[in-house]
Amino acid sequence: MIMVSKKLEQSLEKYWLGELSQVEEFQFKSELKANKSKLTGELSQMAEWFEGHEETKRNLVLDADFDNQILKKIHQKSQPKDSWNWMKVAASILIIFALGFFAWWMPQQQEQKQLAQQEEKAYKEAKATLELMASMMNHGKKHLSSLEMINTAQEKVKNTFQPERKKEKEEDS
Amino acid sequence: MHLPIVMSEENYFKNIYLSQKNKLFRFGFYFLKDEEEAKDATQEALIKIWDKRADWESVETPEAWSMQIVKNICLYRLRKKKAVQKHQDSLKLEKTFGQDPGTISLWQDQWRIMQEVMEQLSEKQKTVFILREVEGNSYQEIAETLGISEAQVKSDLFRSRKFLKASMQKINDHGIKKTRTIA
Repeated sequence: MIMVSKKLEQSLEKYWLGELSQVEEFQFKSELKANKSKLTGELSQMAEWFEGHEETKRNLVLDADFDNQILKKIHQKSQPKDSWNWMKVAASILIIFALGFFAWWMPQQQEQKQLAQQEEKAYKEAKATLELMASMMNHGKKHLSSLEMINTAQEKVKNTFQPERKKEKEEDS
Repeated sequence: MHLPIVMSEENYFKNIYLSQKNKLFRFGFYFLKDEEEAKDATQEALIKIWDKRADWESVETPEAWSMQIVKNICLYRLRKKKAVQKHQDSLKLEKTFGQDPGTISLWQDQWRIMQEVMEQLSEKQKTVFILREVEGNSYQEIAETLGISEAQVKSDLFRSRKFLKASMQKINDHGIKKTRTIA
């Protein structure tokens, strides 16, 4: 026992200095536990100290229901968050579209209102529109006049060759 | 760390993080000195870990990482508690701090020694002390948890054991009176 005590005291000194490795510390604790009843003084106190830690470890545990509580909270947290995210995206898109539409629609409405309010401006706008229409129609007319030229040429050709054909027919008969 | 493809996030969480709940709880308990509060802190930490699941792949040692999270939560709670206590003191309300663990069966002397030692240590040294004395972590594990060198861990442990020796000596001089607190 004296040998054991001496060895334990040496280990204790190393323990105080923090020089025991994890394995050595484990062995030291085991030996203290095994010889607890025979120990006195500081060694006995240390044996109780370590035993106290073991007891604390055994007693300080969370109940089995803790896992369920955590998992339940996790499920609650993740599910609504996802759908909420989708809702946020959908709402953002909707808002962007609505803002875009209003940005396009509002100036037009305002312009029309302004036109209706200012007679001179409305007259000028109508005149410009009619002029544009007229120029476009005249542009078409040019094409028509070229068609007319073809018709005139056709008439001329007809008139030139038809008397000759008549003569030929009369001679044949 | 690599997330196995076959393992879902929830299974990974259960196997790696939730399985450490008691260790996290004990760690919180020694810091907060209150079972219910330690339970809340553990719950908060585990939910935070779940919320940070995008970071799991970059975590090298999940145990050290979760310990850090619990430690930060405990320190935040302690700061809050201290602020409340300060306010209560100013209102001359009765102090309720530093009570015995109550519902837990623990050697009263041991609890006293623990508190006496921890009061003299910094937050970092406290963490080293708990992780080594209570949880039996290796120097390397503690160093990883705290992001310090192993030499620093040894130095902090030496310091805390010096206080531990002195506290034990004090109790020895006054005579050991071992009593158990029973719920």
